[in-house]
Amino acid sequence: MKLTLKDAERERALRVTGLSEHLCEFGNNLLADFGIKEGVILEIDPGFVSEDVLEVGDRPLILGYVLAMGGA
Amino acid sequence: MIEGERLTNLRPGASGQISAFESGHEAYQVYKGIGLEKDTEIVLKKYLPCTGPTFVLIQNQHVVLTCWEGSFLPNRDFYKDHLPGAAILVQGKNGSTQIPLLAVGEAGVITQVLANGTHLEEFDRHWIKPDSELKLLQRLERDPVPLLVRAGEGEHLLGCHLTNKIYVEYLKA
Repeated sequence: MKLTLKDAERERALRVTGLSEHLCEFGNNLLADFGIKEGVILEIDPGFVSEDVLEVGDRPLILGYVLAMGGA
Repeated sequence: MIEGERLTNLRPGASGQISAFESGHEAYQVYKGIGLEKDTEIVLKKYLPCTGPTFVLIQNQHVVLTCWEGSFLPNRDFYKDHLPGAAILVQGKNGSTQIPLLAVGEAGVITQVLANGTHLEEFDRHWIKPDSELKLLQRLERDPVPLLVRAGEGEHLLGCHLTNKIYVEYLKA
């Protein structure tokens, strides 16, 4: 199964391998205007769309973004 | 804060000691409960997409835990007024762990519910409290959200209907 931008890890270098054939003309034009096409390197900003996966000792720990920012 | 830098500013792979918490007392109790204190050594492994609704069986009762920025709540209405940072610890086959780290089908006993007073009452109403038996039944994807994407010098906000139509690969492991 192909990895989509939606499911990719955040703040990690990604290379665009292709665009879905189901993209409408508007979507195609928009991405073309943004310069997002096959081969482009991009990164997702992690803000408010991420869970932080930490390692504490040898133990994994997950923090939601609000908790990682100090809120509760 | 990790050695003077905010945790959310760190890149995956960065490590360091916790130098301070910028939070209120209630949030600090949650951090302490999950094992994070001043001088704790941590490694930031990665940033993952937030989890969607999680279906669990608690004391033979079906409950949907809605994930809001990594925190779990029994229903959607509940988090309208709050941005909580609750954590539920479960004694699973690999020891005490958080619900997001349980495998689908894994069962355990709730050992601790870390939340402020208002939330605790709501959790209690759904039998989400110590000694209740919990089994993780299903985990759904989160509703798609727009993503801010950096490409070269530019930053673009891509809507949900675009982000699942762009195929990508990781540049390095």
